[in-house]
Amino acid sequence: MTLLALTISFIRKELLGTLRQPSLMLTILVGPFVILALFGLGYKAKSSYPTILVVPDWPQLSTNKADYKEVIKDTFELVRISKNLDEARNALKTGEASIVIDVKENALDEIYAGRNAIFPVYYRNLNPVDSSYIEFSLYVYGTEFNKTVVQQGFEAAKPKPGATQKLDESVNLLDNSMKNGDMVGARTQVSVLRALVVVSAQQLDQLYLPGRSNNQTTQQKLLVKQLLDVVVKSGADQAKADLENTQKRLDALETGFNQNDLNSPAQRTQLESIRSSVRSNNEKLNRLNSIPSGVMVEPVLLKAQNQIASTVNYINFYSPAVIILLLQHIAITLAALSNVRDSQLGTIEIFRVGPVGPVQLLTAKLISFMLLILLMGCLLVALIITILGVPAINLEQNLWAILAVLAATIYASIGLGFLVAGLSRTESQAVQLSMVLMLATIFFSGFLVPITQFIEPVQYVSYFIPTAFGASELQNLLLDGQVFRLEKFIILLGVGTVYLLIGLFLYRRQYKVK
Amino acid sequence: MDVQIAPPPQELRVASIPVIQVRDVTKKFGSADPIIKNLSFEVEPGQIFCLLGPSGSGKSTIVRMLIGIYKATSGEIKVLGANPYHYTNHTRGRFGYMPQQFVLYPELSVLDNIKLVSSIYQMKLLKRAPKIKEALEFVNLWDVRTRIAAKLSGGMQRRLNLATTLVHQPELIFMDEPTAGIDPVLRARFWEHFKELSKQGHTIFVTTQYVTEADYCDKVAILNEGQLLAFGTPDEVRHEVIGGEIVNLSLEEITHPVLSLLRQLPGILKYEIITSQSLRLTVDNSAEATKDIITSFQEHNFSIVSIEPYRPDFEEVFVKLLKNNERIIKE
Repeated sequence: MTLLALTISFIRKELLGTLRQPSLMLTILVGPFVILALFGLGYKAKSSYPTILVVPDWPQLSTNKADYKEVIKDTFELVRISKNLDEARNALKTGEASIVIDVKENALDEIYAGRNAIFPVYYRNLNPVDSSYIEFSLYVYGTEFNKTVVQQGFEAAKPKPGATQKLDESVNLLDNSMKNGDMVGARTQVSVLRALVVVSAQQLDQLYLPGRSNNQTTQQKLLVKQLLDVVVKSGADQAKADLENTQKRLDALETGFNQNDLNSPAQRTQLESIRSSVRSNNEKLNRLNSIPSGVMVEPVLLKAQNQIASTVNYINFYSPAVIILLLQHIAITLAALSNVRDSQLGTIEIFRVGPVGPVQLLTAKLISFMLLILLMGCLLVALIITILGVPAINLEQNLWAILAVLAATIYASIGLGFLVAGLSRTESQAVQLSMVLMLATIFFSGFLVPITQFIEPVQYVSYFIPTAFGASELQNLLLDGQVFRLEKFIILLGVGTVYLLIGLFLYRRQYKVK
Repeated sequence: MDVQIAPPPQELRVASIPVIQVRDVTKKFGSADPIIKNLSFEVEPGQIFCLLGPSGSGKSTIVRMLIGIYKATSGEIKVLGANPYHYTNHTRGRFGYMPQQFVLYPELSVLDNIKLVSSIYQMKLLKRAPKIKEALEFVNLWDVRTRIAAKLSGGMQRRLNLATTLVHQPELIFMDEPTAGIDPVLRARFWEHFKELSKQGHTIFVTTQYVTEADYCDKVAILNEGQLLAFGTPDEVRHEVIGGEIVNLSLEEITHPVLSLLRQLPGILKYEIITSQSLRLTVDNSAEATKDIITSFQEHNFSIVSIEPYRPDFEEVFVKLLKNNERIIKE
């Protein structure tokens, strides 16, 4: 009964204290929304860096940036073309450009000398995230540049369509010569056909086919069940067989010519067989030719599919985490300032003298703060769902789990707040400690940097930060409708209880008779 | 002149058990000199007990020992029959404490503050309303019950402090300098409140540095540098310090025969010539001395312009007491 009366009194105290400060209400409830809305509206998800392209001083190279818009785009915003490297690098210092790409005039010499041509890229950036992004983008652009060059090479190396036409024409001419009794003409066409078959066979041998390799790498093995499949699936083997068949029939035809048999039914049969093989071969070659060089350069593409149940974007991802971070901070500061303020005001003397112990007092404060902050948390979750459009997958089934996550996070945070109060003598000390905890939370809770990017011992720090559990669980529940992870919940409750017990121990020191 | 600590009246000790018993109490913080030195006194039920002393004399330390915040280095303390360092919740509920400063929540209203304190004193939610109203009406704050404490005047904040001390209707009320820093009119009103509480049967233990307030009390203990200099009713203390009672005598002319007569009269302890026509006499009993003087002067045909008993204010008593104490220490 005492605890109930005390709890109600503290709820009234905190609620009325908050309601009587409209600016505080605005800060707590509206502040996060304004921040998230501005973030959502203003964030463009990728950076754009002013770039100067330095090209060799050759007359045929233009300095009009429009001519290079296909080469430098997206991440690199081409501001101008220069032919003077020193002047361009100086622009990095003045801030005119963030990146300078230097196209070396000896690039081709280097390639033919058996070395990679290197285009130096200069940039000036203090931010490690930006620096990594620039370097990653450069890698992507380098790959794209090379792909374009290789693609052009593949295009040039394709079997020429003229060879297949010539095979057809030559078979027709042979047919005509045989019908017209022109032995000389027929022999000539047989020779022509032999030469064309050799050329076609050579082209087939030189043709690059994905998966066709004697030294199969893991990547090749992933593509091909067995070596035979490559030639079977590509049709190159049949094409070769067609050419060999053509060669044999030409031999047979020529033997008949030597016996003065120019156009007997047997010779006609050989001719039709040659025609059929040539047609078949041409079909195969046309099919191989029809594969775009872009596909040949990039035969395999990895197509990513995120299996979570909602759309991934920054607002959706950060809104639940921001709410949890905010609730943790409010709980810590509210609990810490409440106890420190009682000491500074002298209210603690009333508590000490009265018939109420420290355990009862802290329990009443804990319950009242929990209820108030939980109410605030529910309101914030409802607002991000309704106003910011953050998805809530399986909301009905997960409602209790969401409440449990909020409650556990708030419980542990209040415990942390009592601990902070025990370590602080003044309100400013408590606020400073709360801010330090906020900083630790931002770095080690996975809020900013994924926890997995830390070495293992540092990852354990996250177990002591309520937001680490709360933010990831609320994100999982809301955005993916995942199952509630009981073991993490129990760990957080345990950590929160340890904080509470330490806080209680420190608080009881004030009750000690001096 | 040194004043002996007067023991509590015999009849009171017999009639009832003292509410507060302090015996040979000394309090030291660390290795420093004792703040309270060998202190003993008792407070009877229903009394207004005033602990009077200058700032830093140890008044608040004694209150804190009585309410269980400080522990005596040596000696024995009993409050409501209990040792303050082992108070049960039941005993804690029997007394109230009003700290020197305003210690309630400034952002809460008068009513919310008193409700919070009433819940600390385990007052039932549904039954506390009349007592809260009673306490606020007692200190004339009922009409401003919805006002935020931060917007109350200093005097009102003190009265709110008092109301929160009274709300659970304690038998014994400790007040640490409740009138410090407030104007004389309000101080007088506070003492009216205390008198009223005393009439209602509450025992009040109050500390003050305003010596004139001693006259409001049933018992006074005068404290200086942790030592009890005087103890008793205000008149007893006054008598002890002055060495008797005072009678002011005005004559047409002070002559040797007059002075010679005064020296011969019984009950006149000493005289002091104030002006050429007035004398201040220290006597055992002012009423008897007045009667004897009038009779003797008539017998000797000495004329008297006026004769009246004089009750020196407590400030004078206090200054004299401190001077006496200083002289004794020097000697």
